[in-house]
Amino acid sequence: MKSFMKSGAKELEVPPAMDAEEAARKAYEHDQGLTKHTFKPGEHPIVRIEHLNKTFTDTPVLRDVNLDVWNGEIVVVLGPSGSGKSTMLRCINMLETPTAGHILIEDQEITGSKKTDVNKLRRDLGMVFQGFNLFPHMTALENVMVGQVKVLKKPKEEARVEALKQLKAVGLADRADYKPPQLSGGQQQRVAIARAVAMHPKVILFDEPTSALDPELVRDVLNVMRDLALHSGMTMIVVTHEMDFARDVADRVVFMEGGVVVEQGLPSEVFDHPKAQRTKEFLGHIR
Amino acid sequence: MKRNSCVRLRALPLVMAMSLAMVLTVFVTGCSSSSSSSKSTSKKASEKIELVHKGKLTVASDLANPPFDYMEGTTKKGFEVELMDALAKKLGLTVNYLNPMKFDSIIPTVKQGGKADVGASNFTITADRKKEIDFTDAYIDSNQGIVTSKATASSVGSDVNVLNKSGVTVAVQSGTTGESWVEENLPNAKVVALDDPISALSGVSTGLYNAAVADLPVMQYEVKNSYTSLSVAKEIATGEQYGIVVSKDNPALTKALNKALKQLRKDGTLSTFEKKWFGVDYEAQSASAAATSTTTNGDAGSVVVSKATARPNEDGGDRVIGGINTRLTWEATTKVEDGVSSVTLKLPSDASFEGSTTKVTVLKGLTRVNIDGKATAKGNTVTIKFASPIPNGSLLRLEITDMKFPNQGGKYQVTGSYTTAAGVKGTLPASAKIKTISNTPVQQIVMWLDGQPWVTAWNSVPFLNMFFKPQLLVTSFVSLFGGWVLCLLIVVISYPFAIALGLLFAMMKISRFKVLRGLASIYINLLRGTPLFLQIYIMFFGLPMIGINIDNNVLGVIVMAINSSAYQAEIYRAGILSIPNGQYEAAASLGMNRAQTMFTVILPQMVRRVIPTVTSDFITSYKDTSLLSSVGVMELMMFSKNLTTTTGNITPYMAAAIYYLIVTLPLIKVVSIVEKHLADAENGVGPRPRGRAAKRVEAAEGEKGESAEQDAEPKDTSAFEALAAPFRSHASQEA
Ligand SMILES: Nc1ncnc2c1ncn2[C@@H]1O[C@H](COP(=O)(O)OP(=O)(O)O)[C@@H](O)[C@H]1O
Ligand SMILES: [Mg+2]
Repeated sequence: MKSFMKSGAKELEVPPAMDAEEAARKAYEHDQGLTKHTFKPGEHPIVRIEHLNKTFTDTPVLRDVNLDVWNGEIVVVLGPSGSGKSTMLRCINMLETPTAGHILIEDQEITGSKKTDVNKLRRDLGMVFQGFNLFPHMTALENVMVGQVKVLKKPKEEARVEALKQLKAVGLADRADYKPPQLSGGQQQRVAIARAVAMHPKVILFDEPTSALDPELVRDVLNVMRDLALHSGMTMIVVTHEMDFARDVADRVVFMEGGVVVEQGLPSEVFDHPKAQRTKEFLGHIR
Repeated sequence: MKRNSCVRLRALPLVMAMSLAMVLTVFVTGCSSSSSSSKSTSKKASEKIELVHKGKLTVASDLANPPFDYMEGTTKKGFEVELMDALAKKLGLTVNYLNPMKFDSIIPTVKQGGKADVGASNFTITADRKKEIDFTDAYIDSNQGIVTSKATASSVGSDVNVLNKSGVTVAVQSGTTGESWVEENLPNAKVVALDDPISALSGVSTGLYNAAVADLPVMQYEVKNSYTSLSVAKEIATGEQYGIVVSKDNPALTKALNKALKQLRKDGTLSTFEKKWFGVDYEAQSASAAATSTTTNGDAGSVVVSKATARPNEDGGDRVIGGINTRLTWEATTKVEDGVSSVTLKLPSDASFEGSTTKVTVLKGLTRVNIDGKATAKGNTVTIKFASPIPNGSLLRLEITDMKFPNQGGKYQVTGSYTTAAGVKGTLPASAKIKTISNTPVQQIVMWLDGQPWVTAWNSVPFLNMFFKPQLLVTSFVSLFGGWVLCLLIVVISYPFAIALGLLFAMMKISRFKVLRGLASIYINLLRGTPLFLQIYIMFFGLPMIGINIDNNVLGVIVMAINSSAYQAEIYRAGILSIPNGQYEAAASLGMNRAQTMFTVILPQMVRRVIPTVTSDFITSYKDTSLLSSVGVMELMMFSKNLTTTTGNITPYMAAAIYYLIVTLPLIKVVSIVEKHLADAENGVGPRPRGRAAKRVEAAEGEKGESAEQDAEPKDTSAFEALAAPFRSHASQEA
């Protein structure tokens, strides 16, 4: 892994992270009209991605990605398979190390932070995986409790109350004592969402949460996500192929291909009047 | 006849219970040997010598008793080897030695027939052994010797009781006269019974044991030639005699060998061999000792009783080592100028000599005087009439086996009288008190079995007698119990340590630090790459050499724990690597640190996965405790080996097999049940908690349990990298 860093650093030279005020000003200007979300002048974006580059061995996967996400904004990332969407989310969550570039959460740079900070920073970031990744030896309730107890050091009782509340929110209060193998895929994914939400992260990342599910199970999961988007006020970055969900729920749609952000804007703009040729092809292809 | 016995055997529930391939194989050979032995019985009348290979005398020996029988490179050497050659020549045969076999397996091999004609390996002629096989006449007299380090030799020499203390360990060859001697004379010392005298000497020279007791000529030879740091501290006059082992089905061979032996003695060949190998002519010595007797003066003189000890009633405990029959040993020094012509021993009236066998040993110094005695038992007295008077100043030893102490036990004194050659009567001083314990119900069952006709019929089938002798099975179960408990204790105590060490080394092996990984690799590879047997030897003989003295049982626990930990480290490592990467990522995304991830997410899942493999390893460890018997840990195999050596019967091993199976069979069942549960859980077929709406909802939603287990995002990373990423060296954490 060290070798990636070295070879990457040699090949790629990116400017240092921008000054917070300057970045906020630029983002304010840039994102005007690209999102339904309302933000005030002087407000700082909650997530800043600047010149993000990621190379696996010799294959560049992310090439100079720049993106700002505002507090409370729902961003849906679209793009063909292999375009680097997951890699971007994983970089934000520090599951991958960028080869070059900067990621800042509330103006604090997470790339290049010390080991001890990483776990602390991650508390502000929730993640929902395509493969659920529930802990199979724990019940649904325990899955939702474990992070609160171990990481947030909440008393067990408090964690249980919170866990039950979140399970209820995803419609699975009656499945609290089930273990993951005894639950359907859709139920598992909803437990996984409850597990992420129970940590009350500032930003929650979804990586194709419905892609592993049978079609008849997708709706329940999307409903839960929609609910979350409309009522929780949480910032969400969602990678998905569910176009209807994107159109309904997203404040902004980002289209990625070949490791670059090809186009971004209001859902209606991107879906109905795509500017880039690649976007047109992709949306046409999808339909 | 043959068919009949096989059918009967098959119907036996016990044999059914032991439906092991091993037993079945033996069963087949057993049937065939029963047919051959019945053939030989019929030929007994014709007095024809039966041989395994035509024109050859096939000899079984352990070839580990220099200067009697040993290997030098690939050539067999020694007094006995030359004697067998000479004997065979007299019979018009050539000698064919089998590959060296374990001492305890020689008598069963000869007895069962088909492999060896005779056994020659320093076999002392004993009553216990005579029950199973025949002995030829003695070919040499022998004694026992105590070997210690040179430093302690003189203090032991002047008083053997310095060894009669707890904390003193004395090594003996299992099932030998030396072992019985230590049992009876050093009751406070710990006896360690080994396969051969050489391991006993190795142990003394490294400091593992305080002393070794074994055949004097062997000890003298070894101390002179190999173990020069040791010396023979004391010679123990046992006056025992070595004989050649022949099957009871082959009396013609015994007879022929006896005749040949007589000739060799007469023509001086035996003396020549003795001079060559021992530098002493024992034949001439015993002849002159016998000649020193008798000038009549009519004086009663006196007899000084120096010893009276007994192997008391069966107690089933470890005192049983060395034999299973009661025995009274009585020793006295005669100070009667006319010589003693008869001795009458008397016990209180509730004891009985009826049905006993008496062995007479007369010694002048260390030299045996060959005097036969005829014993007549009558209730609580036994009278021994000597063929010729016991010379003045001799040590007279009477060993009376199979005599009976009363069931309730108690303290007994031997009294009696003697008659001089001149016909004068004298009274024997009362011996020291002999403590006997009460007969256990087990012994009473055995006595009852002895009298049952079906037991006699059963035992007349050679295979059944050899492998499932009812009396021996009953006593074996009791005698082996302690060993079995020790096996269990060793493995049960060692296992938690093995688990802890295994986890530690598994963690080290997947650690971020190269040094730790390297150390763990060395540890695991060394232990997995060498036989456990070797590790046991190194630990048991090596540690005392560097001055570390640990109790044998504790050392056994340590060796087993260390050995098993290496295997478990690999099991745990594989278990950890089998946990999907998604589990690490999920834990990381909740903000768990490395320790939290390990202990709350990875290890609990790993534990479930490795339960079947670890249980299998436990079974292996449990069985492997048997290897500890080679260094004298008194576990199950040790006890069965001892019983087999003294009785020449395989039944004790069958009892041991049952003791092993009592534990292993249920565990094997447990493994398969756990494996099924795990498979069910992975497939999502496990039981579901009670829930009102559960069934309906599931039916509506369908199933897709499996996807949770796999990382849905396919990436061509190896399992190792998958693990390495979040645990060993997380990329972002290294930045
Ligand atoms: N750990 C990895 N090692 C090497 N190549 C990877 C790794 N992870 C992803 N890739 C490659 O990076 C590219 C982008 O992957 P990904 O971000 O998963 O795309 P998306 O999520 O948009 O489908 C793909 O070509 C994939 O094969
Ligand atoms: Mg993806």
